[in-house]
Amino acid sequence: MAGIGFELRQHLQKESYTDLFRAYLVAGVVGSGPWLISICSLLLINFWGHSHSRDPEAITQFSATVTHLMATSLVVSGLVQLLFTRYVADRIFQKNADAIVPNLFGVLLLTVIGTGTLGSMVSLLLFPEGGHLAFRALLVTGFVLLCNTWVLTVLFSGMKAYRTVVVIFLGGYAVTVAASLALAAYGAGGYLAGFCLGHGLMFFCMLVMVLRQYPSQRFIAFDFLDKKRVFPELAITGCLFNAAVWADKFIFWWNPVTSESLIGPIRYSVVYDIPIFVAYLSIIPGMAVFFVRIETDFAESYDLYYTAVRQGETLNELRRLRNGLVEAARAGIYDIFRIQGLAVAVLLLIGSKVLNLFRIPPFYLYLFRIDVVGVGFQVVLLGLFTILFYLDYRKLVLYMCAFFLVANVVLSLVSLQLGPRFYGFGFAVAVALTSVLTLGLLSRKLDRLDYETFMR
Amino acid sequence: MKTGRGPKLRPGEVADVTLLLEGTYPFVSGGVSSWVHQIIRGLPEIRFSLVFIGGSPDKTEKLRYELPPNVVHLEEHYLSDVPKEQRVVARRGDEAFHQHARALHDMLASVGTVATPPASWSGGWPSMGQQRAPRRVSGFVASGSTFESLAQASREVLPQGPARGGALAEALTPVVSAMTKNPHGCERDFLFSERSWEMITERYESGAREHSFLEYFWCVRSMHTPLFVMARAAESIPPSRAFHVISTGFAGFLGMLLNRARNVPLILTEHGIYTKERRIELLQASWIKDEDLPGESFGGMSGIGHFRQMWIRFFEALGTMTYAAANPIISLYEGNRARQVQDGADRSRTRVLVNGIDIARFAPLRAKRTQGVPRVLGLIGRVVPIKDIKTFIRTMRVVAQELPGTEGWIVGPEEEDPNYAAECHDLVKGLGLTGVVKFLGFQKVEDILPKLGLNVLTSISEAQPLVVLEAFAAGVPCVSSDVGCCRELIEGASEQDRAIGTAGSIVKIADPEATGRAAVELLKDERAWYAAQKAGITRVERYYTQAQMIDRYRAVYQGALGSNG
Repeated sequence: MAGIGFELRQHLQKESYTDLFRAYLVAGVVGSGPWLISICSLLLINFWGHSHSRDPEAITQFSATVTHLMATSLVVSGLVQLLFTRYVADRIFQKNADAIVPNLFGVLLLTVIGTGTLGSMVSLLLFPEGGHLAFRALLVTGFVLLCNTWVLTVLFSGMKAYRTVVVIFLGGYAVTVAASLALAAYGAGGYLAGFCLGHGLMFFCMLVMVLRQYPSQRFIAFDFLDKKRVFPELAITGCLFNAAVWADKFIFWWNPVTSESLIGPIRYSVVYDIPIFVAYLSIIPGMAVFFVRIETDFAESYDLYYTAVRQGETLNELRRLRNGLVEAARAGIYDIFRIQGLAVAVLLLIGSKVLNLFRIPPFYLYLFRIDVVGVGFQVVLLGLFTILFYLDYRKLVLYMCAFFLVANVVLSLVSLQLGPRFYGFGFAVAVALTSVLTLGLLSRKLDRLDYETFMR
Repeated sequence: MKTGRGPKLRPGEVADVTLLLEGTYPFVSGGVSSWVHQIIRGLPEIRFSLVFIGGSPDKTEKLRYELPPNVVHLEEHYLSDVPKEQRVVARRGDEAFHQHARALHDMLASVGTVATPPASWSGGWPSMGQQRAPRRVSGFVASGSTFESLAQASREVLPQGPARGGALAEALTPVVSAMTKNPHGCERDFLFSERSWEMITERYESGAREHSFLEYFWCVRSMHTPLFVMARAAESIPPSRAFHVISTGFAGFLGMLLNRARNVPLILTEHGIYTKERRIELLQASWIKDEDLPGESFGGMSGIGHFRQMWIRFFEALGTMTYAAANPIISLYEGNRARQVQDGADRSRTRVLVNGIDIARFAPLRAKRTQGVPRVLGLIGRVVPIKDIKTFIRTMRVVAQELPGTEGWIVGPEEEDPNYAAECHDLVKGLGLTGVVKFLGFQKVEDILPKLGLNVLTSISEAQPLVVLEAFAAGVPCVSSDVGCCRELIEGASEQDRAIGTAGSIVKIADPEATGRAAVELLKDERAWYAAQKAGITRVERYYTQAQMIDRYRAVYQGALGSNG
């Protein structure tokens, strides 16, 4: 009898477990490294401007404008950040680096067209009385540049070139600070022109670096949109995460009680903005631990485990290595908790001195403290998300980001209702809740890692 | 399931007999397919429904046969048809189903050890002949004829029949009822549930803990997923008064499901022995990444890697389950019947029904023969290792030395195994037989048979080769290796049959010397040759006609349909 072939097996055999997710380390995370540089630079412009400029109003307008540009560009470019990082990581894993540059141009082209259109429409429609044309043009330029910069930043983080990113950011922001202050005479537009100059420089530096690293035959490609190679949930996740992080800020900006209007739709919240941006500086210790622990111990045990799976080790050995992986994840999270907790404790104690250092009035102390706690949890959350991305639980991260967004919106609105003593609690409780929930889910996933690895 | 081709029964209509066809009629041509076609055409009063089971749809582009009018339904199921889950949801899994499945696996494992002879019998399965100085023939292990005697011995030593069958039936019932009532749920449970994971890891720990878990896991998955395809098929197949399965394996499993779920009789006809054929295939399969450790020993399968053993045992289990449900269990000759019994078939249900040929098609060929005995030896068959073409070529060297001018024709397609075919061509050149041995490719047997002096079979495995009967009917005696029922065909099965005389010669497997000598003796001795021709014609006309075969199956069907009201 003609036998039925055994090609079944081939049909069933899954594509093997990619160990690429280290590259995920994380769009958001790498955003935070440069984030610190940008916050510091802006604070610098702020202080210098306030003490030397004759027009403090222009500085406030500039700061609020840049903050809005940052927030919106992160949310919008979030659509491609994780998606493209994963695409690049997969190509590197497949040793198909030639595909990177053409697709980078594809992404950048789409980003330029998309954000350019969006930015132009916004600047035309929402800035009816918003200064002259040059300011609007700079606004669009800044927005497009920022979005593209985030894409490139993400690419560099995918290539593990963290140091390069930081160096380029340092250089770019040095130019930004210098140019902005040099152009201070032209008001908010002058500052913004300096900002665009610095960011334009950063963008082209990064582009040159990529082209030097990955020469390519093709000019442009859109393979990253190929249905078979792309994970659409990553687009939503990237967008949701950034939206969640910024949701409380927007709520405070849009509430007339807590904010003032500056230019067009750009508003700022005197009570809310400064403490939280200063609080973000406190993530440095947590992030350091995060990088060291996750990138070395966890990544190594992750490699060991999945290599063993692929190479067909015995279940006993797999279980032993899984325990190592769980142990590394636990140690990493625990260390972030511990170090960030220490930083938070210290800041709670010396909060007033820190505010003094930044010349922030002492009545912000209460809000600053709760922001420090919230920001601390955000570091933990990033660590948890990174581990989940490593383990390829994309959907779970998506759901948690959605939860984070909803929680932040709802709780921030509630905190507004409850009054000034509760400002900041919305964000802090939302991020803490999300972290605890994610931690619980991660722990469950790790407990059943063998089952999930094979049966999922 | 693929729809659209062939006729379809309307809802509410009932077929008389549903044939469950794994990898054969009507999409694949071959001996079994021709047989099925014969049966369907021979029994026009029976309304047949056909269920084809294939590997994947791209291999079955077109119907190879024109379906007779009494085929009222055709449907196709493909083992590769695994549902694409949009969203895999982790699930706990149904406790009862897994408990029952566990019990069934334990039961099958214990039946398996009973069915396998004790290790003291020279390495278990006789076809392996591990410690009996195995003779390797182009990658195969020669089976020899020790099998019958071993089977005989097994019957005397081992517990048989109802006691074992009853326990198996009991273990099967809850699993079958779960699978047929909710095939999708069971499938998802198997693929994704925690209980399934627990069961897989438990069994791995107890039986394979030293082996690659990844291999083990995919091995288990690849084996079982087609079973759920079968369960889904069992749900959709239209009603029928009887089911007839032409092999064990996946189709046999489907037959078992249908038999138990619908309480309709299941008839089994095995041409070859499915588990044995799978075994040969598996021993050669290169997709099994296995460490074939020489020292390893499991149930007598020493030297076979663990994952090959798993597959072999899997097909054995499918066979056992099919045998537990089927009645009657039909084979083509006594040897295979003994094998079925050894593999767990209840002896009282087994029967031998030989195949027959359409004598009218071949009898006229006798008149086309020239005077005298043509000095031509013909091997009619595909150029594949199982036919052992190389032994035929070596035989021709022996013959050419004794009787110069004799030719050897190899009549059959070479596409199936191009490497082997190339080796055969090389061997012809290497032995200096160019011009003596000719490769004729595929030909109509009617054109070839009148030109042959002898029909030669060097196969290392056969069941009941039709080409022997066809040659007899056309007046060509046969020299054959001692495989399948060739001895019964050439020398006679019963006392009366043997009285007819021999219609050629039986020689040892892979023995060119003996084959050559036997051929030369017949070609040289015209009287012996004509006696053999006469014996062949008489035997085929008395015992192996198509009409007899059709009558036997008519009776089988009547029995089944009658018992079903």
